[in-house]
Amino acid sequence: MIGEIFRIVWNYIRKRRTRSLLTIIGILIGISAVVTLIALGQGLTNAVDYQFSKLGSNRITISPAGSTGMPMSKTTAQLTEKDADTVKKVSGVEFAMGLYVSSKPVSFGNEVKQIPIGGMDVNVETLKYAGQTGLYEIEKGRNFKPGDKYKIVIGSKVATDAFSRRIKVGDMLTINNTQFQVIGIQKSGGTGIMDIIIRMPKDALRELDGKTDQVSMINAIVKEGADIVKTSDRIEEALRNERNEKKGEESFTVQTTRSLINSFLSIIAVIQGLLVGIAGISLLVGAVGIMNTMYTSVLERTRDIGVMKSIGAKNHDILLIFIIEAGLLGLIGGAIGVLFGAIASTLISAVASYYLKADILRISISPFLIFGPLLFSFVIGALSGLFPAVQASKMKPVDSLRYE
Amino acid sequence: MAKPVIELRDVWKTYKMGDTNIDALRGMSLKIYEGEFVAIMGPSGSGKSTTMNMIGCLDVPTKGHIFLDSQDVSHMTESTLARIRGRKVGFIFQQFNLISAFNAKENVMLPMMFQDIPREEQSEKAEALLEMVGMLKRMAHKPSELSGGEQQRIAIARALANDPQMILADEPTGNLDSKTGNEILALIKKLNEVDGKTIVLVTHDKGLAQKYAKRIVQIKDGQII
Repeated sequence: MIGEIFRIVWNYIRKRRTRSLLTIIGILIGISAVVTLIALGQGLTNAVDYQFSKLGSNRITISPAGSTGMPMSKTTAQLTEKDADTVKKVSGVEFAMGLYVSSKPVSFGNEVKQIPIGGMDVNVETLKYAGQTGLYEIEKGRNFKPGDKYKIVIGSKVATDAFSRRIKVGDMLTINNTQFQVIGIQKSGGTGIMDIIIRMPKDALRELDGKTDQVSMINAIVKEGADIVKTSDRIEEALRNERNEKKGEESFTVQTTRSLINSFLSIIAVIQGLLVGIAGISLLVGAVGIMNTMYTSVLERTRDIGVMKSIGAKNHDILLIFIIEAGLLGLIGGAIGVLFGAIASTLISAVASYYLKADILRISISPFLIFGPLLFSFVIGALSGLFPAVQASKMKPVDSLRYE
Repeated sequence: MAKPVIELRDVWKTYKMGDTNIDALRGMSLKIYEGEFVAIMGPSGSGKSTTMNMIGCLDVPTKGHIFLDSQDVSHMTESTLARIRGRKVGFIFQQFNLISAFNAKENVMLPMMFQDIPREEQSEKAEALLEMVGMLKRMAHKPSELSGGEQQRIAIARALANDPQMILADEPTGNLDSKTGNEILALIKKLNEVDGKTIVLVTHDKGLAQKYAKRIVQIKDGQII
């Protein structure tokens, strides 16, 4: 019987071509908006996940409490080289280094600009691991080598944008009356902060600042196979002991890349939920459109209903005809909507990566994103058709045959 | 004589119109036997339509009993009735009542669809019936593309789809010119004489009733006179 009902329904949908099409468009818009937004949100999530995983999922950052983890924020609590040494000794830690960041007036030609300067150790061990911590890559010139002091490596934006004249490898910059030679220019990291920083040997920066052993943050790399969460717990404990602090009152925070990713992803999820919710409203409007169409159809087909009942259609046959018709309108709208949504999100991601020159959206249309909306649109359609269908099925054959 | 195909036994039908009750049928009793050609006549408001609805099992009586093939159908649910009339009664209406979204063949197949008959069989049967009423070459046409007489022929084919014992024709010529009307009634008469179908013809045209029917039942004020 269900096959027969599909044949009957298909005849009716074809007969009312224009109205069916308009009703389908109503659902189509909603579904394609929802699919596009989910695909884009998923793409953004994938991209964030990917970017962070490039940084290395084995990285732990220790920063003074209250700071956001960004090197330039000012806080009262401080970390020292001693803390960095403590972290190095924690089991599970492969390597750790203290980074010291301080903002300084930098002059080039006759211009002076305030630029953040990151001080780092330039010993063999640190340089080896600097790459692994995802710090930077050299595009022009060379990296530090042990023994360098009044040398600097500059971020790509510092080279191109900070001063009106472009800085080249070999140029001299003056920082606090001391001359520094540019030995290398970093490759653009895409993440912003790394591009606008100047790196110099920590010894030189301390000389400029006069401060002894303060560090702004400590980066640690976890040993292959070691549990990152357990290691970060051990680091926390070791630092607490060394700094004589009580649990819950630490003046420092220990963050893993995973926890950073998660807080990022949860923000994306909230925004995505909001947008999909808004798109869902248009889906609701589409559903009301289906209901309207079905009520009109029931009225228009009152006589047909009477005829069908008189030639043997049971109440639930009539009910099924209208529910399946509504569901099918939803399903067709959903199918085209999924297609449009997939095309739209792929186009948007292509345009975005063309203009931003970065893979910020990694779109992948999962089977769930195809079959979920299909099922959903059929159910929404069928539900919208439910009330009109019940009305149709309850009509008395005698009355509906008499209907003009 | 043969057994009755349909029997109305002291049937009352009361409609509520606001506060007043109107008795459309007042204790009507009627037997129609296998192979008969009965014309039901009466002025409008006589209860003619209500009688037809009872005979066709489209409605149930307020009081009294209706037996179709000796089976009491007076208190059956709408869905059970639907199944029974789909098999046992063929309807021919004044307005033809073909489904406009379907072509001629699909209209003839429709009663078989509701009886779960295999598709192959539906198709063969529909074509055979359309051939019988002379409409096979029109089977792919929609009702809107056909004349009144052609539509009524297709409606007759549809009425025969499930091999019903009884054909109920409600003013089948009311919307046709007299020549076409006579052709249609001749076709219905043939069903009675050649195929032995029981025919119930509802009409207000005395001439037609006398020409085609073997028995005439007159109704007035909800009773047979």
